[in-house]
Order: sequence, then structure tokens, then C-alpha cells
Amino acid sequence: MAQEVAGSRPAPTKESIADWARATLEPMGGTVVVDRQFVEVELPAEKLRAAAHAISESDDPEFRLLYDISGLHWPDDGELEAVYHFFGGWHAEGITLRVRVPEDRPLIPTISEDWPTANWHEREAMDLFLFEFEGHPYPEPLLLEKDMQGALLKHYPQREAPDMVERFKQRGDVPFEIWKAVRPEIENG
Amino acid sequence: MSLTDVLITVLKVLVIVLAAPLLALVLVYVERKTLGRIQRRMGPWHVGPMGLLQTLADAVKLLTKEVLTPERAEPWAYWIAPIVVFVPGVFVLVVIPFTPELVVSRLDLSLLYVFALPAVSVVGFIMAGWGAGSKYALLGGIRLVAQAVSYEIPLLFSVLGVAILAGSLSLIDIVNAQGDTVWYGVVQPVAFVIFIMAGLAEHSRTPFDMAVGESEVMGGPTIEYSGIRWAMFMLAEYVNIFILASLGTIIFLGGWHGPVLPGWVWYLLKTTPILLFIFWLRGTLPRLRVDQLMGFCWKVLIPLSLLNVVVAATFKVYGWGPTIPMVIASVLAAYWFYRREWRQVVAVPARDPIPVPTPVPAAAE
Amino acid sequence: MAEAVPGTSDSNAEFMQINMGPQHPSTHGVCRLELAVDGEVVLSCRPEIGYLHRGVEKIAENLTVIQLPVITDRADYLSALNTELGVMLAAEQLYEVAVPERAEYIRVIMAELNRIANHMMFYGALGTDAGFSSPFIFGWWNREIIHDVFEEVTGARMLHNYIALGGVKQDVPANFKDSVKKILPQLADGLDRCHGLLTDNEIFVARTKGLNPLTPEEALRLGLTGPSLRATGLARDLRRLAPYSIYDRFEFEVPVGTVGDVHDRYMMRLLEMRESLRIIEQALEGMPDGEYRGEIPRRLRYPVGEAYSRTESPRGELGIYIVGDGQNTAHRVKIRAPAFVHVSAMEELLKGTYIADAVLIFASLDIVLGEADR
Repeated sequence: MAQEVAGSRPAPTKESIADWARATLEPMGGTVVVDRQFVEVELPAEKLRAAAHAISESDDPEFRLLYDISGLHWPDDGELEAVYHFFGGWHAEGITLRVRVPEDRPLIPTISEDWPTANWHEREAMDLFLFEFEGHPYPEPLLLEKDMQGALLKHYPQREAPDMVERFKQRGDVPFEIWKAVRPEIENG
Repeated sequence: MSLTDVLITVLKVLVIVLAAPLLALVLVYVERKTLGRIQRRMGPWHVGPMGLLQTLADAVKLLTKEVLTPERAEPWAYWIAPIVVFVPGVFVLVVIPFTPELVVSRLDLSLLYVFALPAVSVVGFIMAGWGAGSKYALLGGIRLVAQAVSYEIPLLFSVLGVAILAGSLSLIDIVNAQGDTVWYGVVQPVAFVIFIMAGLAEHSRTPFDMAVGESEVMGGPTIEYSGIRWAMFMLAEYVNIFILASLGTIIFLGGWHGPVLPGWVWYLLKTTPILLFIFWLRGTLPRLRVDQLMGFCWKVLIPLSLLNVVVAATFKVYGWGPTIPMVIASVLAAYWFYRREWRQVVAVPARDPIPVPTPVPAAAE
Repeated sequence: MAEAVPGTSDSNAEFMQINMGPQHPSTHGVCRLELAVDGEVVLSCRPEIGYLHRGVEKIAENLTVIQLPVITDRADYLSALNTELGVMLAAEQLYEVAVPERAEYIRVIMAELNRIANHMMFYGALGTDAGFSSPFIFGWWNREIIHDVFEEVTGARMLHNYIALGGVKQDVPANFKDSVKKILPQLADGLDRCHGLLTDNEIFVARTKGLNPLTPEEALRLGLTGPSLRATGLARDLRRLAPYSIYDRFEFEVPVGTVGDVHDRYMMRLLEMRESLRIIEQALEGMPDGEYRGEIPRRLRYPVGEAYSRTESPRGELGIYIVGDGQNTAHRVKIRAPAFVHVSAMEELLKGTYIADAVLIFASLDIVLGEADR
């Protein structure tokens, strides 16, 4: 499949990606913006999973690399923004998804089923911005200690939103999959 | 034996016991210098003229280091292991004939003795691995013992051929037999190569040092040792290397025989290339993985060394000359070595490269 | 439950939990790989990072664009100039600053020298992990030569803070062309020696050929980019695919592997070094005189907006995302580190391998924890 795609089809351009996005992602509730560096689609949080799935399934234009999931904190609006950059495997163009969620309820569905690399990117975003990715298989801290969560928020370390931090601390320890498989007694623990 | 004989023997043994660590120190210096030169650097340089006192300084450092005992160590095993590893090596030196006069003890079974004693030090490694109370030490110890026990077989069989040809198990007789005819290294080249390889693996030297690899998780059974105890392991290793090279000289290269120069000079001239070769291997070869290591022993070395014994016995019985065994053995050995099963390499079919379309230059952001 | 333990059919399979790291005997940085091991076979792997997290992105939010390279250098300390190049490309997009020709050429030469230095470090680390001390010295001999040139030009051997907004911070010294011309044949000779030591070494080949082969689809799914991805057969190089700076003017090949195993990944980097030497030669010939820094505005406030730059760092594809909001300091600087994604790929890659091979696989991905953790 890879051979055919790379050899025969011409590489997609920004316009063709914009057209595809308007056709596929706008019906899901996204807004396509074209005058930025890459084609950007702003989505509500609950539509993210479907959009990510559509992007992973798309053949032309194809996107194979999830580059990163950046968090942004806009304290004036009281919102957190997650920016997803997707790029093609064998072409140079990309598409960006943006999701805005309120600061005190930053719930975003995880996309780690369609995009395995999102696993760690989401863990990092959870550490740095206190996002909550619903359905994430292993939401344990990755980079920061448990008492340093939310370090990249603008008001850190003043903790003006203490309830967010409390909610994170209640997450507790999640046993890793292999231990559950080989030591059944911790299945329930 | 009269009292003077006993006293002289005791004195000789004492000399050996004192000389062994010094020998090891010299060898460590030579190895570090050789490795340095192979790696385009100087090796020890600052301590003493040309770095000659470097190992002395290291020895002093090791002796003055704090001796730690890990919390979960088994006291008896942990304490005795270095001794069990070091002492057999020293006692093997007692029997090695540097010249017909320079030997402490003339045993009739010295060939057997020389290979029986290092087997005791293998027990010492198990004691070290278990006694340290650490997972990694145990795993390293197990690997090392498996390797040592496996490689003893080709080691013994390779010299068995020589023993058959010489008709004796005494090292002195073996050397003398070579003085009359040609060296056994020429008659039994395959056995010589197997002997060196098996000896290296027996003492866990590169490229067979997976069990004591520093860049692996397991640093080997000796990782929980510090100070003088670790020094004993290190000295044991270098004494064993020296013994390996000496035995190679005695059994395969004719020992002290040679024209013009005195015996001990020839002995040194023959032992030194083997030692340098061993250090050279350390500087230019990576490690074999454990399964490749064992595969090499059981699939290549053991069959070859068995074949070697059979061939040697056949030619001894029928009294044929040295050239025929040499030719046949070399051909068979070359065939066996190039069967690459022991490498355990998985063949993966190659794919064609997938080109990526180059972009149209007009599109720019 | 027995089938849940892969690689064993024994229903009483005992497994042992082993930590590789955080203190590694090899030189990749502090990373902890928690392995569940059955005998010699790794059943599962859980990589854990964060030991080297220094808050690079948070600190970057307090720095002006002039001070920014100081902290981003320290993220990927082995390829500092490539990271600086990526950061400055993003900043120049945001500020809309043009870079003069001479500066572009200088940047390319420095970045490619840095690539060679980085790959020599990779070579040394891989050799050390294979149990072999000589490659390290061979590789570092070449790095020393490059560091001397760096010291002449930027003043520092490793963390340079040299590439700046609009060009480079200061012009190269007068003997720059001569010094670089002098080291190019030395590097080529050193590269040949490195090849001779490891590439056909019987034991090295036995250790690395056929180890951990990957297809391009698998590699992309795991997020691998850079030489590790090219080893699988996909000729993806950002310098060709989405050329930045002046890379589209140079003639160089993109080495591609066939199988994607550890040996191929190693060969990719050695062949890449040769191509880097070609690029440096061409750049030296074409380097014009002129300005070393373009016009930059006097008040260096970040314009409101965003910029995303993608560069081919020696490790993989480096993405720098800068968001400005009109202040002196950036609103957000995000470094998309290839090593971050590669460490997360270890979870999948190490299943079913031997422990000794796990070390080699980790080394073959050329991971630097400073980048993964930031």
C-alpha cells in the first residue's frame, strides 16, 4: 500500500487538505481555518475522537504522524487549549486540530487508540497543564512529581485553582497492564 | 625427603605466592597500554615513568578502600568466594615448568592437575553470585558458571590430542617430546585455536565476557565486591590469563626449546605473543550474546575437539607423520567454523526502499 | 492468565522484575526501563523518564528571543546547533525576519558538523553497549576535531548559543574556511576507520543483523522518525521533503535501509555522516561574503501569532512550536523532541527480546534523555 501511494499519487497541497477537512471534519462540528501555517480545524472536545479517527483512516490525504499535543493556557479566557499536529508519512503537509476546554473542567477524550504515540503526549499534557484525558490507559505522571503537577499553568506555583490540583491528586496509582495479567490479585486492588 | 628439600620447596611456593600478584600487576599494565595504543591513546602515562607505577597505585587504592558487606549477603559464601577463586590460580603456577629447572613440582599428572584446579574456582564464582544477595550477581554467576562448565569440555579435549601424541600427562614430558620432533602447534593447529578460544571463554575474556559485561545490566557475579576482595578477583583473572598463555606455549609451542638463547628467554618470547593476542582481541571485538556463546561452544568447538581427539588417536596408533593430520584437521575445521548456525542470526527478507515524492517548490508557507 | 504472559507457555511462568537504569552503564542519560523478565526474555517494558526534567519550556516562557537559545541548547545537548536552528526558524517565521545568504551557509555548515559529532557519539555508545570499548575512543577522536572548530567559531565546545534571530550571533573567524577544509579529510579518514572497526565485524554483525526488524508502517505507528525510520525503507528526510534554510541547493543522497534492524539503523547514520561531509564541502564552496545577521526590529516583542518549524535533527524530526502574544517573552515554547517519542516506542519494541539485545535496541534509536525530558 505504501509503495502505491508514494509512487503514483501526487502529494496533497494545503488546498486539497482544506477541501478534505471541510468535507470530512466540518460535518462533525469543526471549523476549518486556512489562513494559518497549516490547515487548522477547531473542534469541540467531544468530537475530537471521531475527528482523530477520521484523520487516521484517511487515505488521500494520508496522515501517519502525530507530531505532538501541545497545551496552551489562556488565563484571561479561563481556558486551556490542546493543539494536535498531524503530519503525513510520505508527504510534507499537515493538519492541526485545536480543542478548547474550560480551565476548571479540562476533559478531553483520549485519542490513544487510533494514535499510539498520543499516549505519552497526553500524559505529558496532563502533567504540565492538568488536562484530563478520558479513557487514557495509563494516566500516571510522566515528567513531573505528583506535587508539581500543572507546572506550566500561568499561575503556577500560586495555585489559584486549588480544586484542579486536588482532583488530580485523587487519581491514585493505576497498575500497569502486565502486572495485572501476571498477578491477578492486584486486578482488584 | 630431607628437611632441606622441604624447606626449599616451601621457599619456592612462597616465591610463587608472592610473585603471582606482582605478575598480575604487570599484566594489567601491559593490557592497559596495549588497549590504549589500539584505541589511539596513550594508556597509563602520568603515574611513574611511562605510567609504570599505575597499577601499583591502583593496587594501593584498592587495598585502602572501604570494605563493604552488602546487607543481604550470605556471610560465609560472600567472604570465602574471593579466596576460592584466587587460590587455585596461584597453585597452578606451582606446576608450570618455565624451564626444566625452574619448576616447583614435577608431577607426573601435571596436565590433569592444571585443568582440575581452575574448576574449583568456578565454585568460587557461584559462591560470589549467590552470596552477594543481589539478583544481578546471581544471574551473572549462573551465566558464568554455565559458560565455564561448558567450555571446559573443548578445553580438555583439545589438549587430550596432544597428550595422546606425547604419550604422557606430564607437562615436562610434553615439552621434551616437542623438542625431538616438531611443535604440537604445527601438528595440531586446530587444537591450538580451540584451546585459546576455550581458554578465553573459561576465564570470561572478551569476546566471551557476557557474564561480566559492564555495559549489560549484570556486572557479573563480582559486582557487590569492593576493595581488596575485588582486587582478588581481578588478580585471579590476570593470573589465569598468564597461565593460559603459558600452557599454550608449553603444550603447543615447544616451551623452552630453541637454539642459542637460554630456555627462559624462549619461554618469554613464546608466551608474549599469545598474551598480546589476547589483549588485542579485547580491543577489537564486541561481545557475543549468551545464546551465541553457548551455541558456539556446543555446536562448533565440542564437535571439532572430539574429532581432533579421534584423529590424533588414529594417527598415534598407525604411526603416520604429522602433515596428514594437519591437512585433514585444517580442512574440517574450516568447514565447521564457517557453518554459521551458532550465530543464531534471524534472516529477514529485505524490502525495496519506498521513495517519498519531492515537493513542488511553488508551494511554500 | 497463563496466556497473558507472552513468550511462555508454562502456566507457572515466573517472571522477575528488573530495572535497567536510571543509572545506565551506557551513556544515554537517565532513563528507567522497568522490565518484566522471564529468564533472559523481556516480557514487558515500562519506560520511565522525567529524571532530567529541568523545566526548559517553563524557563523559556521567561526569556526573550535573544536569550532563548541558551535554554533550548540544553534540551538536546548533543545536537545543540540543530535545535537552535529549529528554534530560530520558528522565531523568524513569527517575526518575519529575512536571513542573509552568508548566515544561511554558516548555519548549514555548523548544523551538519553538529550532525557528524552527534552520530560519532551514537557510534561510540552503540559500540560500548555491544561490549566493546574501542568505538567510543574512535568516535570521540573525531568529535574532538569538530569541537575545536566549534570553539574557534562560537567560543564553546558543546553548548553554543550561536544561531540567533536573523542569522548568527557573530561572524565566523577569518580562518574558518581553512579550518573546516582541514578537518574534512580528517573526518573522512576517521569515518573510514569507524567503518572498518564495526561494520563488518563478525561479532557485531552477529549481534545486530536481524535484530528488531521493522516495516515502515510499524515504524510510523510507533512514531519513529529520522534515521531509524529511513532504515526501514521509507526515504523520508525533511531536508528533502520540506526543505528549510537552504538545503534545497545542495546535492546529497538520502541513505535508505532495507530491513530496519539495528544494523541498518547503524549504517544509516554512518552513511549520513558521509553525506554531511558532502554538504559541508558544497556549502564551503558556495559561501558568499556579506552580512551575518539580518535586520531585526529594535523592540523585540513577540508578535501575536504562532509558528511551527520542523527540522531534521540528527535524532529524528524536531518540531518547535512558538506562540507569541505581544510580550517580551513567549507565551509558549514547545519542543517536540524525537527522543520523547522514541522512548515511548521502547514499550513495544522490547517485547520478546533478550535483555542483552534490549540494550542494543535502546542504543540504536539514539536517544538523548535531555530532549525527552526537557
